[in-house]
Amino acid sequence: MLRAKVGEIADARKPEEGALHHPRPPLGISAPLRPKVMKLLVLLTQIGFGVLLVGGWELATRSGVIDPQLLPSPSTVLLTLVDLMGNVAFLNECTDTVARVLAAFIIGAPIALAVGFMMGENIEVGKTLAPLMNLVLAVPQSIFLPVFVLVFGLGFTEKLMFGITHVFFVVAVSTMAAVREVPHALVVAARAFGAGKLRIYRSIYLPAMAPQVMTGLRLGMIFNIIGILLAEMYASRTGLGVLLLRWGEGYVVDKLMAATVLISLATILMNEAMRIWEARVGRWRASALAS
Amino acid sequence: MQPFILRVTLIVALLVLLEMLRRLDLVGPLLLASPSEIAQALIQSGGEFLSAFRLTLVEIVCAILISWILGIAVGAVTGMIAFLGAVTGPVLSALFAVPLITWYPLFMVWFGIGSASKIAYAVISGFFPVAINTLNGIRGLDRRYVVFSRSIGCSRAQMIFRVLMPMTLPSVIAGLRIGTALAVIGVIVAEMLGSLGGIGYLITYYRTLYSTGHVYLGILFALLCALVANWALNAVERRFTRWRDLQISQK
Repeated sequence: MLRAKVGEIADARKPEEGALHHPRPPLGISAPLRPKVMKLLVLLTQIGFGVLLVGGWELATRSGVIDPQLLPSPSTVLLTLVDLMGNVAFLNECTDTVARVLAAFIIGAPIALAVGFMMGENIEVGKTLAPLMNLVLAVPQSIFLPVFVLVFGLGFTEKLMFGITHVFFVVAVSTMAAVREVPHALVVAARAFGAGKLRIYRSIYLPAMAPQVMTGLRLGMIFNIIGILLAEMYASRTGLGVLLLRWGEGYVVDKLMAATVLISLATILMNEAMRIWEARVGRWRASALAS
Repeated sequence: MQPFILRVTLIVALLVLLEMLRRLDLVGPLLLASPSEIAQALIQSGGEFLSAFRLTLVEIVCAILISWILGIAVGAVTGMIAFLGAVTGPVLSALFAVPLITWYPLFMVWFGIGSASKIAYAVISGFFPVAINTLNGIRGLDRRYVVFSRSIGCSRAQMIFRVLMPMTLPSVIAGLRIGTALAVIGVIVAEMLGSLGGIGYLITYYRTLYSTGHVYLGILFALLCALVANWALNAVERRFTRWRDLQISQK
């Protein structure tokens, strides 16, 4: 089933905002708007919608239509958030979580890159390991969290291992796919011109693989964060996940909402940042197509 | 050797291997449960697991149905009206990156720890991929089909149901696959975190008792849920892509 999510990697090759780069007549409207005007209008609509949503939410909680005990107003959430950022205990828990996420990524990603590269380069290795990988990907990894707790107990190691498994499989599979997609004709041509192995890796493999590998890394990071937070919520003594669950069970809704919104915003920012990098790394493709 | 016999032999060999690994204590009792332990757990608490399985399955089916309908509806509407698509597409993709599990405590506050919170959480989990893929599928449609159907005098409804929908089906089905997987995982994980019953709840309960046999039995049931959902999805896919086989056979 994760294999299906990895299918997103294939979709990443199609520009997601194709409609804006090459505007086609929308159904029912005959003349297309200039692309820059469209972009501006879209952005304004998105911002406007956001403002309306937050404004409506504020009004609803102020007037009592929504119970502020269940859903605090945006202003309350903002104030609580500012409060929390100054709270040392909260920041400590944040650091714990971030440390686990980063550690899992820093350990898992290079190993996965290496394994994926070997699987793609070496056909025998690929043939032996690929069915195993597909089997693991087909199984939802989160279900095995209780086994991780049974084996590693509660603590840094358990969450680290859980995060690493999440990172590993996505990155390895996408790296393998990226290696397979390197245009063989180019490699042959480079060898004909006398390029050494290192030169081929640097000039051909790297740019060709970069976009897909970046997508894999981005997805790996997302799964990593989900995994670590889940592990923290399930069984942990420290970390953001524990705080969220505790606040939820204690009905401390304002802090809960503030922390949840903070995490959501942070992940969205990180995802978009990685996506911009991904697009940048894939720019050689657009220029190659143009020429 | 016939593939069926080969497969059965492989499975039996695997079961024997697992049993040996545990009997010889090569793998610890907490990491792996031997097939005999799992069978024991089944005999001991079979009824408990079955009623939990039923509950979880009901939650999954509800969540899948709602997320499919919502996702396809939103994806279709925003896909067909280009401006709406341009507005919601990036928003949906950006929101997809959010770890939805962090919203589950809020859902527990709003909906309690009964089935409602799990269904709500699973619906949101499944909604995004379905909507995003439907949206992209419709946006990626070749406009010539629209022009063609208009030129042969199709009404709007005919164009949508007879031309556009079958053409966007691959993307929609891909989205449904991801969405179904996420919804199933969502229900089970939500049950593990805070629940009164269900497979996830039982897995957690027996984990605290350190009975690995029961834990693995629960995991097997969870996988069974996923298989059932997948089977349902395949049936839907087969029903709707029949026109494809017709197309190929007519050549």
